[in-house]
Amino acid sequence: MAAVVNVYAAVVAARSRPLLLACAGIITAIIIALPLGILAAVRRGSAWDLGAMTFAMLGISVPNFCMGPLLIMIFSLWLGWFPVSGKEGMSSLILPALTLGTALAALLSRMVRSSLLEVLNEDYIRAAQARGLSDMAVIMRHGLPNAALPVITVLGMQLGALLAGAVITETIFSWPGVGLLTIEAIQNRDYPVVQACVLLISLSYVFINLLTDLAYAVLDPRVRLEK
Amino acid sequence: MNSRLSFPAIVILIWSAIALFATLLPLHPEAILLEKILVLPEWQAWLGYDDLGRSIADRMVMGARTSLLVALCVVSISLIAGTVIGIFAAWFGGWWDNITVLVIDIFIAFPGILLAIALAGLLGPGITNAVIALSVVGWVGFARLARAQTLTVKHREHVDAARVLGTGILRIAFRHLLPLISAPLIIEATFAIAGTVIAEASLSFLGLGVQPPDASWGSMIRDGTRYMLVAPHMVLAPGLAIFLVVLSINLLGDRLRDKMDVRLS
Repeated sequence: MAAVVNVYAAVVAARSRPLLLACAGIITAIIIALPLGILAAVRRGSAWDLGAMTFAMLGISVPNFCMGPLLIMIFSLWLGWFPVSGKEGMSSLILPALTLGTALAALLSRMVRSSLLEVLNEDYIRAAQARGLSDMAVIMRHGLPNAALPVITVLGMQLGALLAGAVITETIFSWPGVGLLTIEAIQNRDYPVVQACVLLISLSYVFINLLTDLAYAVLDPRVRLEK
Repeated sequence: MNSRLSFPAIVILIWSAIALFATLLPLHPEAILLEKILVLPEWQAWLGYDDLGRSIADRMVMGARTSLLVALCVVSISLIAGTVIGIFAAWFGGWWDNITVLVIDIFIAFPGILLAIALAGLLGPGITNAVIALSVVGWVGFARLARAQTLTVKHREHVDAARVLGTGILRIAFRHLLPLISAPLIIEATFAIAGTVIAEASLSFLGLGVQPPDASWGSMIRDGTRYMLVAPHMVLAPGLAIFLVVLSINLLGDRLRDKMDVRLS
């Protein structure tokens, strides 16, 4: 019983806000991917499209343990904008979140582009344009909600990779989270803590996938009606 | 662009050639030159020296060998095991299929690389254990794909005809099912090689893969992060190598997919 309490204390109490980094990574990814994907889809075949898709291909191919040191080198050592590592307020969250978010952003922007391209040929988009709505309104009100489902599916599935990537990113930035705790526990052969961490991360993954499924019903009335 | 000798193909060829012939080259990846510690690239050693005074170029070559061997081992084990399990699950159906699907679902509930990290940690650090851990995680994707593909071709006429003629399951699997389902599996395997290169480097980065003094791109990056201010080349060289290899495999995989005209989910 004492061991159980100790593991719990190590995992949760000592590491407050365990999934903060993963959440920051998702938000970063969405902030980067949405405008990029929309721009690429709307200006299809233009230099914007080419640039966004090149970024996507590069982003997928840079593993985060390369990205992290690279970002530290540029922004912490040469420019001195952010702290190198550790957890000192919001500014130290930016580089880890960028490291974690880039790969996901790359994948997401490809997905946003392709699903938006499929939607943009639909009749209701033409109808909205015929009603004289601005391009912005057409895309935001009629395009994006319809293109959201496949994007959310990919987002939910990629979250596992993100949570595991957080393990590596936390190691690079010495960020005190569940991931760093996992690695330290493995190195110390502290198996109960390893089990607890793996269980915690996997449970969050399963829980987020459940949320993804629920999000379908919120976004798509057809899912609700078929029940 | 000529598809046979494009940029990604050249990168892959160089990577494989270096990896395969590494042992034939006059390299000294473990020779320590104390007066050369952290020396930046110079005209004799064009990638410089690391924190123990070892030649980074020589260690990069050995790292290429590590990553190629691990990737090939893991992907071939996963491909064969996953395909066999997937085909048999779909072919026999019933409780055998139910159990397979259950096991696949359990594996999918864990983020892949996390399971590999935990397994590699439990088995103990080392390159063999890293291969085991990555294969244990890797077969699931192939099994799921092979099962889904087999289900779609299982009831085609030529398969029924073969079954009526009394053909054995092994012969049906090899001669009548595999040729139809191999294209998506090969494409999945291409992307799996890229994923395994990253996964091996991640494990080595965390100290769970290749053990010193052997070289891996991942462990070289880990050593390099401690000396980033004085010797950025220690991180840049292996980082660029991983990036180029993974980018090339992904580009080739995309091209292969377009050529074979397969849509993966």
